[in-house]
Amino acid sequence: MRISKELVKGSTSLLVLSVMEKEAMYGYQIIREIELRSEKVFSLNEGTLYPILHALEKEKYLESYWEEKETARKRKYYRMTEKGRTELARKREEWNGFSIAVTRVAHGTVS
Amino acid sequence: MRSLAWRTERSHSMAKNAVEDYLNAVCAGIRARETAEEIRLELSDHIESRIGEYTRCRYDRETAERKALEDMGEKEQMREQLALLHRRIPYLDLRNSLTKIMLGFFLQFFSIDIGPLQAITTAIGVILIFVGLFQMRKINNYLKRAWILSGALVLSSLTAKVLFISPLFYLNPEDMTASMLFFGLSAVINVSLLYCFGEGMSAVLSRESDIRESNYKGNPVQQLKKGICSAKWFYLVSVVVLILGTHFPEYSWLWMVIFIPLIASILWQIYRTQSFLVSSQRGYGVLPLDGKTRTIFCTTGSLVVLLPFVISLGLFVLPRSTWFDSPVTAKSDMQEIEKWIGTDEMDILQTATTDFIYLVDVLKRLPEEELANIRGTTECVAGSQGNYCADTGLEASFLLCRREDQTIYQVVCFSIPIDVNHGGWDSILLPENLRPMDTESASQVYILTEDTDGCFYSQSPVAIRYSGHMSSNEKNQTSDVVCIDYTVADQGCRQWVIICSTCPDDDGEGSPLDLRRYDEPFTENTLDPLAGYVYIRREMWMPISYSETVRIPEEQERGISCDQEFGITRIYAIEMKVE
Repeated sequence: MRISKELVKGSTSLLVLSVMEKEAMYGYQIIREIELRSEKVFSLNEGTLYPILHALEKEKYLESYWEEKETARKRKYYRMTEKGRTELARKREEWNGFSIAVTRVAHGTVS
Repeated sequence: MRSLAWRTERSHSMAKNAVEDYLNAVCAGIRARETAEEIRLELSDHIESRIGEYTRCRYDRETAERKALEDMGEKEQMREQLALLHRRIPYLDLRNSLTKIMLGFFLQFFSIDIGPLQAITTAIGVILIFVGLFQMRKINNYLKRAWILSGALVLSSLTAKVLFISPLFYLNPEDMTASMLFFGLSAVINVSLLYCFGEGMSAVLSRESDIRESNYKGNPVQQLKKGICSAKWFYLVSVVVLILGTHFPEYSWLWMVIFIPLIASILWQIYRTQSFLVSSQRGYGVLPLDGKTRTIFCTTGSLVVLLPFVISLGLFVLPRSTWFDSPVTAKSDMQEIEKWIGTDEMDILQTATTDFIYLVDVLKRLPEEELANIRGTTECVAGSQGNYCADTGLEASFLLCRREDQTIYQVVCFSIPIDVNHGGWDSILLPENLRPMDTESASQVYILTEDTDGCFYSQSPVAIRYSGHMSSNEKNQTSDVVCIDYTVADQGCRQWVIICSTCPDDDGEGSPLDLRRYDEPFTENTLDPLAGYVYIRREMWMPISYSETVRIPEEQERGISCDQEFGITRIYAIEMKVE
């Protein structure tokens, strides 16, 4: 199932923060993880991911560090800060409210 | 095989160029060199990971790289978004921080000594240095130490200003101990700060060791390192020059001629280093000042600038004993006076400004029998009034004391400024009934004379002579004349005339002897401490009642020539005994 880009757009920060909750990751790994968890429903574009990662780092939701790999290549890892965890909790709550409301409207359910 | 290998190598090279082109295009939007380098490394790693993935799926290298670049998306979009995020230009932070430091040193060294403004400009100077080094503190350990030292400089400067503006300083303005102490402390901190700053900047310059520029002969880095490290020596020499300038003020122009280029050299070295480093467009790890930090610095900086004045105001209202024993200054005269009238009594002294000096003048010269009257004082006010009549100035220092039995004792000492050498008649106005009646009263009149060194010494008049009416006005109010003859060492015999008049003081300046009270009948209730200290010892002083100004005629008998209204002259009293 392909999801409209417009639908994904508003929730990319939530997706990125969610997959990074448990461990530090690098850009490529984040894309793979999102694909894996969404069973390839979401495929985050690199051109979208890096500006988001840098913005989250600037907001101090993420912090980065460099690691040297066996291939002598340097790799930039991102890990979540406490501020990031708070933001993730807030975004989750926001998303829950949003999705419930969308479901109600889309399915015509009244509680 | 050879042909295939060549083709593979060629296609690999072309693809590599495509990756380079992509990275160049994306990073071109990032102005900060260090950030651009980091983004290049990060994206390069990502592309390599993608290529690895595609090659594992049996794509050839060229195709794998092409597909990896396609995955990266539109390079213009990526460039625009990243450029927008990394708008900050780190080398501008470096320029800003060094500009603050330069301006700070300039204000600190060239503060003009014009009262409180100097305190303010110096404080702003040290705060600017502190903020500038705050931004640079993470570059290396030397700059971190310089930042800590700049904090010590702020504290030292703050303490010095508190002391100099506060009453502590006024206790003994001639005592330069505190001044020299803080001057020395600031000098030591400044030398250490310039040492750490020089070494720290030198380490920063070392990162550019491979740079050659046509503007410099030889290696610019070595030159700049030498220059910035020599700033501490320039400062040390300037301190020596300042000390020499203090000891030889007659050559102050010469010291300034040396001092100015020395300090300018320090600023020049910082400026040269700044220009060189900024031209490399690198940030060197200088931290930006975000809005929140800037607000904190502006708020605390304003407080630091104003704090000495606020503390000073607070100190003035404190009882004197709370700061009198400060090791910074302890005037022996004050301690002596304290022995006479006791610490508690000193505490009730309302102000510790220059009036206090007059209290010392009065008390130091009182004979033993008068001191006996002051002991047991529960309230004490000292003051001084200039007396400008006829052709001279005469100063009266007075002391008003309330004793335990609520009686008021007043002593007034007249002092003659040294520059009055023209002789002749001088006059002051005295309230009616407060005049010496005969020569026996002479021993209760104390005349302070200032010698050539500016020291006062007491001179008792040899005689007081009452000479009767001097003049009268249209309302038939009269002025009496009392002559005091006294001898001043080395100046021969001087004669003073005290005009005992009915003139009120209507100059409206609110002198300590507030004449608003004079038109009321004297009672014990008149002892109102807020009324202007019109306290009169009851058994010795008579009530005073004035209502109108008396104009003294221009031509007076006994050769007094006066063309001004004597009514503006303030009222003074002399102590006299009523037998």
